[in-house]
Amino acid sequence: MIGAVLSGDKDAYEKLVLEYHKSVYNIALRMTGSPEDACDITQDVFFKAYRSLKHFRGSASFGSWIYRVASNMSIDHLRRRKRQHTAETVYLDDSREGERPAEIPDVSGEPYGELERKEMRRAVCEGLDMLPEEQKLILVLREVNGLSYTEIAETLKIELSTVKSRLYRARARLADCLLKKGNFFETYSSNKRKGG
Amino acid sequence: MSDCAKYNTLISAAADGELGIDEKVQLEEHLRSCVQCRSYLEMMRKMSAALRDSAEEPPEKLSEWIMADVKLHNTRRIFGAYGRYTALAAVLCLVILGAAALRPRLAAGKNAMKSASPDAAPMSVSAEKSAVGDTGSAYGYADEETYDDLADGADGPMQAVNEAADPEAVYAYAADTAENAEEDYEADGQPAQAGPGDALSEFDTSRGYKKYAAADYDEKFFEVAVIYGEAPEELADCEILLSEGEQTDYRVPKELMQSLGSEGAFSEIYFDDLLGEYGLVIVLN
Repeated sequence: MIGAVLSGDKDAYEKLVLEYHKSVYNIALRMTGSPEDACDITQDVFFKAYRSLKHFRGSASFGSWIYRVASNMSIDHLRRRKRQHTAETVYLDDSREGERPAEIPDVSGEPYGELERKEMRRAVCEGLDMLPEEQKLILVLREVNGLSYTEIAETLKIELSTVKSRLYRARARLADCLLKKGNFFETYSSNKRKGG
Repeated sequence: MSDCAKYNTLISAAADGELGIDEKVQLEEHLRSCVQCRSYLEMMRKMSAALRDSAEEPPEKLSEWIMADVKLHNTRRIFGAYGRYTALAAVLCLVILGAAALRPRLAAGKNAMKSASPDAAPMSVSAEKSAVGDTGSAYGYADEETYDDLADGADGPMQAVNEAADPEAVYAYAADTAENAEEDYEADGQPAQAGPGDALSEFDTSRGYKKYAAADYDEKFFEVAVIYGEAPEELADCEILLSEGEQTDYRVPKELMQSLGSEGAFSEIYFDDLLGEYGLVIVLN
């Protein structure tokens, strides 16, 4: 497919766009929090990719490559924007980074309805927005885009062990943020109580 | 808790189904006797589910917009996507004004810029105006009516080119910059590493310029980089986007940009498409 694109086949490139644009959009969306910015970034990513395809060395998959471009451009955009909600994390106690929350709620509740799911999505996106760029990105790649650890390692050019530890730290931090906000895990706890 | 802490990364990997066999056995043995770790694992899983649920569908026409960009290709890549037609029109107008005078200098100067000393002075605004004739603003913005037509993207930026002077020079210049930009751009989205005579990194202001996004997504603002000097009073009320060292970036309304340009408030203008991203850089002295 890459060869076809390099030969000038724009239809071939369109197939790549259709296959990857949703994932690229979601990387940009979750990193920036703005649908408009995410559209901008997505268009820029694919435009750049098209112009740079002749430099694509093929040592990684096209997906890993384009996710890397998307990640870099999203971070670049965040830094350029320098808005308040992309400032340094509001994590209150850096000395506990990497530790679990002190109290772990019982989250073995019953299934929840659409309204609760919507509330949880909102809460987790807000929590995600409070994380440092590096941790936010790895969670987005893993959870939102569904990349395997190997694919994440390839995309970010880090070791597998680093993927594991960085993911853990990101999750621990996110969990702490959500517990401090006080609404996310209460949804589970309240369901447990409703369940009797 | 200290015993449980060593299972932290295993629990996180277990939530992803990414444990090796030995790790799985080790963790399962621990979970049999540890309620807290079982709860923690469940918490990780719930959080993951909510994150997965947060994926959204992009706008229906996004892939069409992307392909439209690709098809425009050589002439499109000067400004960011949402501002592309309006901002591209603005730059093309500038290029129209200055193309005949600037092109031989810029074609050589693109390589010269890479190794230029900080003292090298590009053509000043006033010199540009006299070189190409006064068509109004020093930035060559079309009058409001044409500018708004271009913003609506009627026939896109080529409409402005066709209606303006010397379209051939404009095409040639745009192609020249696009070609040079590609050479400097690395595949993974990172700027080319600076080396002797190489393209500059984004934040290198030692040579007095940086690239910027000419218009944000609502097409009403420009980012103006003020380096080494005093900003005009007109920028006092503009939002500061970035302030680092001797550089301050302002978010300037389009109309103000035009008036500042026509008043000659900017003493130097660089056109920088080295990294294939953004076009116009404005430096004040």
